[in-house]
Amino acid sequence: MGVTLDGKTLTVTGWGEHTIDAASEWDAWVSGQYKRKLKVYGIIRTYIVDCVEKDVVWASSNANYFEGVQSAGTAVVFFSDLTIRPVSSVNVYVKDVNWTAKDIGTQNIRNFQLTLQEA
Amino acid sequence: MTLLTEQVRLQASEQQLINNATSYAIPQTTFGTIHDYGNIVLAADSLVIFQVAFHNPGGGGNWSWIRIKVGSLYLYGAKATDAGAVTIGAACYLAAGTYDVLVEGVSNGVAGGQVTSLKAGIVKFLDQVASALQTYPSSIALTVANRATCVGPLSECTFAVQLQAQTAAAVTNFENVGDSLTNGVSISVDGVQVDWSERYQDADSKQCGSAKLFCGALSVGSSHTIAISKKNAATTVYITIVACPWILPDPATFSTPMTLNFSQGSTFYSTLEPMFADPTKFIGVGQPRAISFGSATDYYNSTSATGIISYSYVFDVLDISWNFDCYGMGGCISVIGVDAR
Repeated sequence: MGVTLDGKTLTVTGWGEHTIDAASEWDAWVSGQYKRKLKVYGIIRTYIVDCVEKDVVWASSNANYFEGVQSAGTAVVFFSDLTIRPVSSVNVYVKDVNWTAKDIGTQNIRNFQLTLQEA
Repeated sequence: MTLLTEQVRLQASEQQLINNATSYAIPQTTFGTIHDYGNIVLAADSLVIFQVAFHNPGGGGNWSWIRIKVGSLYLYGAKATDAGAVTIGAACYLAAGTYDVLVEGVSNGVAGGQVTSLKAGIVKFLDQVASALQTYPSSIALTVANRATCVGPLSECTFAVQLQAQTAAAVTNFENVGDSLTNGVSISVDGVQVDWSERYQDADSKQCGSAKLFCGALSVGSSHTIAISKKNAATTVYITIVACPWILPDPATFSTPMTLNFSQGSTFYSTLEPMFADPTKFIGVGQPRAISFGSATDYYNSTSATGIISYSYVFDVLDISWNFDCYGMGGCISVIGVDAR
């Protein structure tokens, strides 16, 4: 099955991921010492997925499609059964669509990167 | 840092089922149906709340009895002995299906008694577990699962028990601790008898007695057992139970729904509001001390009122381990939140 986003199959060439915490810090006096306390409320996970498509006209391009999803602001289902990073159907927002192509010869290859934030 | 809130009363799931303001006369001498309010249809298992008012013909020893029937089972009964309107309410969990709702009753031969303003509707809370209205089978155990809320993990819940009991051609009485009454019906929580929160003794053999227990301060994450004892095996008991952190208990067993866990200096929010009644509701930060000098010194900050209470407290100096208490049988918590600093 590979990797799908909103039901569309992605040809993945690279995968990145990072998490940041949502937290508060405060000053405290504990057992005769100053301490800096931290309360973590949760984390925000972001996936960065590199993809490629070949011989796909713009109207049918996944990059084009996910620009539309990003514009709509709706959460879509992200799935991966890749050994390097399985993801069991989480809802994500499309935060960024970044694509490049070189109009040289007849390669007609489009590389695009999706930044997905867990909803 | 961030404002985190959680809607624990799910207003989007609320539904009015009956709202009938018409007054119907209570029979003067012969017990019977006062009014059949027709069917309610539940697409899913639901918590249904009822409220109805009834008028006693007048003081001077006169009285009226009514009882609410849901489908083939009885939910609630009450007696009015004083002139004027008595408004009663109950929470009832029902399995999906269609139920005819009617009110039965009688007065003691005096004209003028009326039932009016019957209302019923579906409410839904997060974290609610329940036992549907039934003829009491044997002890009933329920467990509210623990989970993290936006202000900390769940801590305690309320068990809301509604009981109707009848003994054919005889009285039925609901016993508190220490009582010994004819055809007595008593309740225990985890093997320990407790007092009822409300009781209407059927001293007139009208088969309309009822009682409720809104017992708070029961831990989440563990099973709690409600058991009914009856002195007369011929007494029929109808029972429904809802266990939920967001249903407020009676003042005798006020509850602490969550263990607060957020950053020092943050502002805690909680909204309390009516459910099947609009009682005086209480919420306060603090707790009864080793020697209590009353609520005014047990709680650093508190609010007590009817209607909607929008409560907030800034934990600037006070440590969050002080937590908070609340009560108000008939009301509920609808929103919790924290403005984390």
